[in-house]
Amino acid sequence: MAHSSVSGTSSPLVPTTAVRRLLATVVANPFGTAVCLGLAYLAWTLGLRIVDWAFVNATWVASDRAGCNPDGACWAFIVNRLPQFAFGFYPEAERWRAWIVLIAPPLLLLLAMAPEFPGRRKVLVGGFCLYPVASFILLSGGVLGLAPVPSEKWGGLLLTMVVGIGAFVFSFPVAILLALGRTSKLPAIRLIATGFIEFWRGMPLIAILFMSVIMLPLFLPPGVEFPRLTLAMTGITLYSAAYLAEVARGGLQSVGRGQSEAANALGFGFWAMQGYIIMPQALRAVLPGIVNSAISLLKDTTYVMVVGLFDLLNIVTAALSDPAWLGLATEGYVFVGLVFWSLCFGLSQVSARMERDSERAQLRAPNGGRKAS
Amino acid sequence: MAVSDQNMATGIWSGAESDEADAQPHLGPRQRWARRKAILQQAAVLLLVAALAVFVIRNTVVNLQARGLASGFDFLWQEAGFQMAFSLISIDPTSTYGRVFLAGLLNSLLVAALAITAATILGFAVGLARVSPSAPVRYVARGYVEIVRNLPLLLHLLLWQAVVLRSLPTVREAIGLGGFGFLSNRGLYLPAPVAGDAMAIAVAMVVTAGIAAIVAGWVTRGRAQARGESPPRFGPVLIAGGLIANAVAIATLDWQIPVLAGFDYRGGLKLMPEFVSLVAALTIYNSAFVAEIVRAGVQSVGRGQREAALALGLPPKLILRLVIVPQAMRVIIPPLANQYTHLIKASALATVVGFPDLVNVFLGTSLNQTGRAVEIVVITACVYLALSTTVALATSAYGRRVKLVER
Repeated sequence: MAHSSVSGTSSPLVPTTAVRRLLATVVANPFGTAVCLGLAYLAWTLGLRIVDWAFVNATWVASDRAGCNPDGACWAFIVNRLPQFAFGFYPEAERWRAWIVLIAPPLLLLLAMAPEFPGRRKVLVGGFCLYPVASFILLSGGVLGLAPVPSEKWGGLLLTMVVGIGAFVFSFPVAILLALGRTSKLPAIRLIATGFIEFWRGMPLIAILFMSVIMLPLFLPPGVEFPRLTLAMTGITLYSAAYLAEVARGGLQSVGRGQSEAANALGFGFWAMQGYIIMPQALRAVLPGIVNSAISLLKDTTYVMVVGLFDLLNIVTAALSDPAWLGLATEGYVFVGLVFWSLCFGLSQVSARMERDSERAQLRAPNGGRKAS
Repeated sequence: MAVSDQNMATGIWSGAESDEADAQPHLGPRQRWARRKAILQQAAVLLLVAALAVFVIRNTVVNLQARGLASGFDFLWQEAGFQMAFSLISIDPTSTYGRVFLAGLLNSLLVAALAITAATILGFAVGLARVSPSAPVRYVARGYVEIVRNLPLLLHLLLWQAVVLRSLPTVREAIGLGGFGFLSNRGLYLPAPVAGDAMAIAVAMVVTAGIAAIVAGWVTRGRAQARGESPPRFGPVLIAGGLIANAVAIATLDWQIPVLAGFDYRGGLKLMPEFVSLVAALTIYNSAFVAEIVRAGVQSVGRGQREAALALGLPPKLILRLVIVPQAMRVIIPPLANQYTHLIKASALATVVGFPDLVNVFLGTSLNQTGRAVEIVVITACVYLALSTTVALATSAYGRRVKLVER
């Protein structure tokens, strides 16, 4: 902010602590005081009402709507339906497979926060790369003596996770190839990559989902059929790849030309140069951008509603029309909102921390924090 | 293409030896090999893409034949036979698919235009509150942004649709907005001028003239200030005259105020709840992103700029208008245009709540009725690509105009 005072130079006019500074702005002029008092009043009354509704008058255990206190939130609806919201219509006997798929990403993230140990990075990267394929095999079954479960039965948070993480991981290699193509010196390759990226970036995701469900079956040879989930995921993956490619291109442009020249001089081939020298620097430079893409992809997975997949938002919406629990849209959507908000806010905090860390690393760099231009 | 032929031929993906190659007309064996390799690589990629295209086209033709689906663009002149709940041009069951397409496109554009305007105004207000000197205002703005942008847009939309609008009173107990408009769970009722008489044309002309006068007065004043001259005398007169002309013209129009008759309001303009919730959700969601863009723009202007302007004796109001805002706009405009493209595309969410936008009536209903999947998808894709290209071109034109000219 504008008034960050240098520590140690406290003058009698500049209050040093945060609280004093806050008070100083509050009483600076009558208008400011009025605004603050108004805000405080609003926060107080609104906060009281929310606490009353969500906690004091709320009902946590009930068998149907009639058993709920009409003055408060009817959380019993969420509690009763929680397994469905988490796993969709996944058969109860096979839920342990869904549990593994649901628990794995947070465990991997916890591992990322854990102190350094040898091979941690390999476990992390390998875990996330294997996750989509492994979870697909584990969930659909049919091998290793697992009972087959059609993808129509997957749903809830489970589906949101599978679609979100799966599309993100699959789009990564596509995005890197597209970014390399778009920065290539070969005009034909550049043209194809640019056209591909701009096409997918220019279309609304809703239209892409419609298209992938209607058009993709037409493109495939007769007799070859895929479930809706696969078709929708293909569309989301290509859409996300186009956005991610632009992020990666920004990273490629931030790597100085001297890097590739030096690699050439050392006799590196093209792919070795990209893999060992250019890409690690480029992707590290745009790590916050990559996390931001992941956040918007996570929010965009809700769009699969339009092709009839039951992700977390859609399964809650569908449950709202249950005659035993009518009129609980507020509770349902507040629950979905809390889940998405904590996931997205958590990820955005990770991104912000990365940005701070890289800034600090740049300040410590031998060239005095100047960016290579 | 910024890269010359020779450049392209020598550097494969990388620009290692390109500079020397430009200067040398005679190529060595390595350069010749590199050039051949480049051509071969491109040919291989093109061949791969062509093979994929042939594969896809062949499958599509076979599949379409197997399903007995016709093809061609002639359906655009056929009768569509369905109604639209809301359209700017008149649509009845005898309208053609072409007209339905146009009506859907206009609906999409209307939603996008309204949401862009509202999101920009709200976003600028919140963004400026984010850098306000008053800490409580800053905290509230930060809270707003963090809550709004971390929720999916679709959730915003469903919240408005199922929670906010449903909890509004019924038509009989509608909330009066100053006695002119009414808000109920069936939608928003606004007064509308009775159209179709010569008076309306005259009024429109007066309004146009009035707006022109206001703009002229404002521009001359701004120019004079930018040059450091005193503003011309006629400036305020122009603005005041324009305002008065507009007010008189709007007042003389035959406004029809909605009146409760039976179960619904009659007269005036009725905006369906789907429309209201769509515009509201798009506005709120995008305003948070606009706010962050504005904050970043204002913070990008160095502190020295303000201090220098203060030292030159500029009054604070002029500092904001002549020093801070023009420099911040340079940073704000490109991401803002990006956000507008997002918003235009996101307006396709109308499908979910049942508002008849382009995707809903064309990619949805029309496709289901005619089965011309390929044609309809191609038309829809072209429309959206044209829209995003327009925004991109306008942005780059603006970017060129405000580009910093350094000595």
